[in-house]
Amino acid sequence: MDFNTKTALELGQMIKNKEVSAVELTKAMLDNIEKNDKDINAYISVDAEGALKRAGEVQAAIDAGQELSPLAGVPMAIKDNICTKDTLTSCGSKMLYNFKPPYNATVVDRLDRAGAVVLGKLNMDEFAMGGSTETSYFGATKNPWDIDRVPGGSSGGSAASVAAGECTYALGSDTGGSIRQPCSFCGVSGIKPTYGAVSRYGLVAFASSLDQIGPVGRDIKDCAEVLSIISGHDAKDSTSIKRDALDFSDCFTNDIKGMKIGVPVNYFGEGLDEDVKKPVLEAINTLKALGAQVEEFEMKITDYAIPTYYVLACAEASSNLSRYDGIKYGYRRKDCENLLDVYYTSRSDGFGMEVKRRIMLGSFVLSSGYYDAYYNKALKVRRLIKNSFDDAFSKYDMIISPVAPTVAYKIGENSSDPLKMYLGDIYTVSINLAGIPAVSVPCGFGANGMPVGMQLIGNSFDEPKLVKAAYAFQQATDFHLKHNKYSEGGKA
Amino acid sequence: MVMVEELIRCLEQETGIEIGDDKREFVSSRIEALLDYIGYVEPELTAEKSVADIRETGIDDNLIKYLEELSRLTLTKEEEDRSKTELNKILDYIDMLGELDTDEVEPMSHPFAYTNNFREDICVPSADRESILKNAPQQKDGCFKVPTTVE
Repeated sequence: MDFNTKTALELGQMIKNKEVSAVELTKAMLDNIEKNDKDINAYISVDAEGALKRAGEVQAAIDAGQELSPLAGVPMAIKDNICTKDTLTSCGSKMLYNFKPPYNATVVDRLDRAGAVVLGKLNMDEFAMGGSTETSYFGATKNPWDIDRVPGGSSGGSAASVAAGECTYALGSDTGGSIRQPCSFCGVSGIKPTYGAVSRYGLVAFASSLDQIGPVGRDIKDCAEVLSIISGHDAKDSTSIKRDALDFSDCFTNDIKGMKIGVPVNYFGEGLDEDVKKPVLEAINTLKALGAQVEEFEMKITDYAIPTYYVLACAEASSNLSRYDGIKYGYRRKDCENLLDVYYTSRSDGFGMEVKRRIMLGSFVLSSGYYDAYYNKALKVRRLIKNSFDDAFSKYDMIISPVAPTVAYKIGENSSDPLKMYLGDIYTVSINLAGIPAVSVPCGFGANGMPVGMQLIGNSFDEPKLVKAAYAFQQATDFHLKHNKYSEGGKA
Repeated sequence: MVMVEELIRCLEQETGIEIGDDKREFVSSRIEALLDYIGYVEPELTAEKSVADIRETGIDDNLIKYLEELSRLTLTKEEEDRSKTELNKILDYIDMLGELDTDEVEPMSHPFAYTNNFREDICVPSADRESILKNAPQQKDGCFKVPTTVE
């Protein structure tokens, strides 16, 4: 059986039907990691022993007739900024090179109850700050479609591992596009949920008013299944909304007739590469052919999303990252003379340059004298951005746009110019500022055969609408089924 | 003292002689004594530039030092120079927000208008001391160990 052609849900069903066991599947996945990850470097740590043990337990539970979830026994992996009890959670940083959390994130507990088998922890930009997974202390992750290129980021390990057949689905986190952009670069599907839909308890904080955990998978149906497991209120996260888990059971009807989709024309202007524009415009035609009503409109305010995002994200990061003091956990420089020395030397050694730059920018925009001109100004523009999305959703069920202005670029191409790197987030950051959901699904291939993704953006808690449209699109197209040389031929 | 480090750096550059770690303390103390003798007082690092100044001339070395202090970071001279260039470029870009009239707009710090999220006041056990301490770089008698904090 060629398991890389199967989705997580199909594999879950095969385990139930006793066509394959959870242990066999886990072994095959571990073999694939062994074979591919020398090239890809998607994993920071692999727990083969733990995964096989867990697979055995889940299989026994299934054999005993326990109904865990449709994904029970299917092997998966987790971004390394999500706490897993007693196993390394490094955030891709020297600062946490040895940190083993004493507790599980809520999403990890929920997946565990659903019978997930965790293979290991996935690479990422240091503290999720970046769009290429090049800033990781554990080395860059490579794109399975071309290992000279970046997988995107910051959840680069999550997208690359799914694309390379090194796990069936993964968890990532999205603060400004960190799930959606790597999904676009690696040709896989992902969801950035509504702010507050998924508990952030145990997600190492970057920018608390923007961060959300979400799924990465081979198709949108897998992602929806994962999201239905991890979403829902959690008392341990005071920003988690008091609602039940998201329900996608009505989404797979393949009927989107009459759905109203807005196309923000200014998203398709200057700055968007032609080879990304073409597949996204074709995708709009596909949705039209499926019965959607498409209308163009202007959304000029999002031109201001990047400066707003970087002011606010850095401000929150500078505050959140003040906890790394070399005392309670993580890296500490040896032989410090006094307490201040511990702070200065541990932080200076422990953080990489991009993290330092963002902490300093955050300290600047929050400091007395500059607070009003920068931080408060950005909070006001954030309101304007939210208002313009509210206006759009009074007319449309969803908005369609590109995910990133380019396909995956060469490793090292943008890493020396932070501003250039930030500009790549143009289509994704406004979604986090407004707290609304968006999905990223493959819609074609651009220059050099690199995957291109499209983004569907919805109103708060309209994930089911987005999944419904993305599912209909994936039923009509086969971009999500294409293989690269790493994902081909994994046998179980 | 920043001035002492600056002078040592000049000395090394001018003479081409690297002052090793073993001599550094001695040289520092002599320079400090000299500065003291001439009545030099190191200026306190503050953000003395107005927003208009920043927009006009950008972040300077002094402000970089101030941001390092606020962030509890020590950068090398090379990192400071790079940060100055990059932060100025980023701030130039951020200044486009000034094009928008936001006088009548309420700031939005959060996606939803939250009020306090209360829960029942019920006692539950917290994590045990052992599990919290096991990640500490240094510990002693069930506590985090740190260097001397008060002389």
